[in-house]
Amino acid sequence: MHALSRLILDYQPSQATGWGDIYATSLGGHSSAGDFIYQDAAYRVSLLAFGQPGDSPDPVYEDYPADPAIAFQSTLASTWGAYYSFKCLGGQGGFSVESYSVFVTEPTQSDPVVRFGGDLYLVYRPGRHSQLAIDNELQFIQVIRTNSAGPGSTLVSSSDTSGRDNPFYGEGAGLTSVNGSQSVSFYDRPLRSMGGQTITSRAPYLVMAEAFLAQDTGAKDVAGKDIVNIYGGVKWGWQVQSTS
Amino acid sequence: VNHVPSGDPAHPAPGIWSRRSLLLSAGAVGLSAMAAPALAAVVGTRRTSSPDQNPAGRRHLVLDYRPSQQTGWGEAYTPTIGGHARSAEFTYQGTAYQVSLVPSGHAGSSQDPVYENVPADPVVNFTSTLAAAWDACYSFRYQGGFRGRDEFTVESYSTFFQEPTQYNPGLSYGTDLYITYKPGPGDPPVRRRMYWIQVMNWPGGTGSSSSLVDNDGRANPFYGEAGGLTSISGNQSFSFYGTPKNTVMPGQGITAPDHFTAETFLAQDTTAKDPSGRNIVDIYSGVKWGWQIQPTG
Repeated sequence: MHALSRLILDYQPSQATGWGDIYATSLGGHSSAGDFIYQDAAYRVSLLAFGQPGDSPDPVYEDYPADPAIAFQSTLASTWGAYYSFKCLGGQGGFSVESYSVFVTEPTQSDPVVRFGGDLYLVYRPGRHSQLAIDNELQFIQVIRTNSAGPGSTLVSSSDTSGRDNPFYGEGAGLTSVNGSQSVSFYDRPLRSMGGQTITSRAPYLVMAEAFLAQDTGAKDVAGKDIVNIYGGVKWGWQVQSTS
Repeated sequence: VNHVPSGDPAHPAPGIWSRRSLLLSAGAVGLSAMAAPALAAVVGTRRTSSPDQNPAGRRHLVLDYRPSQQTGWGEAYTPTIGGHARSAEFTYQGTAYQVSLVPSGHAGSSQDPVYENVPADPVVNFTSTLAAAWDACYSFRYQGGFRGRDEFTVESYSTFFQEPTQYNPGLSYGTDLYITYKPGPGDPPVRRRMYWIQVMNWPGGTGSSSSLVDNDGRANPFYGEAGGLTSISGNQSFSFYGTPKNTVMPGQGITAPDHFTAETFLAQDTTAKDPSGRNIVDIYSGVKWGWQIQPTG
C-alpha cells in the first residue's frame, strides 16, 4: 500500500468528533488560506505545502516520521527515553482526512483580538490486513515545531503532551465513540491571536507537526522501559505571514 | 496542540458546568498550587472502605490516601491534591463558609467515597438521567458489580479552597477525587474499550436541580479527559480524576448552601449492537461522592 492509498482525502462539513469541549466539533472542509487585516497591516494564514504543487496542500502521509526539521524520533527519545522505548513499525491501515482548514476570526468592538490557526481531523482506517486491535491502547503521539519565543523566533520541536507524564497526545486523540460508533481519531486546532494589551503581531509564525498512531503495549523492554509501537502518521501545519 | 484557549468563537466553550471550562476560568495555575494553601491533607494508612457499614465496599474499595501525585492526565488534571481533607473553611464578604465532603450515608458518618454495585442515589438518578440523554444511540446494561476484589483504590479525596491572587482574581472551592482501577479475576481488563460514566447533581454549578451526564460536550456519554487508560512515567494506569469546583469572581456572591453529588461508574463499550442498532455499553461498579458548601456564621 503506497502513501496515497493510506491517506484518504475525504473532507467533510463540520462534524462531531467524539472528543470534548473545544475539540467536540471539527471546523470541516479544506480551507487552505485566509486573509485578514490588523492595525492596517495585511496578513495571510495558510496551510504548509511541504513541497506539494498548487495552492491547496493536503496533509502528507508518512510510514515513518521523517521530517529532519521536526526530528520526531530524537525529540521523543530525548524527552521520554528514560521511561519509554519507541519502535517505529511502519503503517498499519490508513487515515481519512475529514477536516484540514485554516480559520480567521476578525476582531470585534467587544473582543478586539484577531484569532487564526488551522485544524486537522484524522480518522484511523485499519484496513483488512491491520493487526492492530481497536482498544484503549491506541493513542497518538505528536511532535510539534513552532516559534519558541514569538514571531520570527527560533523554531523548536517539542513533544505535544499537554503536561502529561507520558508521550501521548491525550484528549483529542485515540479511541472514542461518536453517537454509538467506535472511532480512533486525532483532532488538533492550534490557534494564535493578535491584540490584547501586549501582543500586536504574530507574524511570521509557523506551526508544523508530525502526528503518528501509537500503541502503548504495556510491555517492558530489557531495560524496564514501556514499549510503545509507532505506526503511520501525517505531517501537517500552517503559517501566518505579513502580506503588506 | 492541547489547551487551545477557550475563546475560539468558531466553537464557543460549553456551559459553566463543564469541568474543563470551570478549570480554565481559574487561569493557568495548577490545581494543586491553588489548593495548597488551604489544605491540611490527611494521609492515612491503606484500609478497606467503611468496614462495618458497607460490606460491598469492604470487598471492592480500598482507601489508600496518598500525598499529591502525578495522574498521567493533562496539566489541568495533575497532580492530585492528595490526602483526605474532609473540610475547608473560609470567609468571604463577611460570611463564614465551610466546604465539606458529603457524608457517606452509612452509620458512623464516614466521609469516604461509597462503593456501589449499581447506581442507586435517588438525587443523582443515574440510570434515568443516562437513558434520557443517550438512549437514542446507546443501550446500557447494568452488570451488578465486580467479580474480583480490591478493584478500586481511592488515592485522593480532599476539599480545597483558594483565595484570590494577582493572577487568579476569583475565589475557588471544591473537591478532588482520584481513583485507580485494577481488575481482579473475572473483572473487565483495562484495555478493552473501558471508560467511566459520571452523572452529577450540582444545582449551584449547573443552574438546575436536574442531574446531568458529565461528558464535556462529547458525542458519547463517557467522561473522557482524566478518565480511562493512561500512562505514568512508563507504567499503565487506569484511573478517574475529577475536580469539580466553583470560582467566584470579584463582585459575585457565593451560592450557598449548595452541593455536588455524583455517581461515577466503570463502563465498557462492547461494540455490539442491540436489536434496534444501538451500541451496547456494560456498566460495572462505581462510587458515589461529592461535597457541599454552607454558611457557618
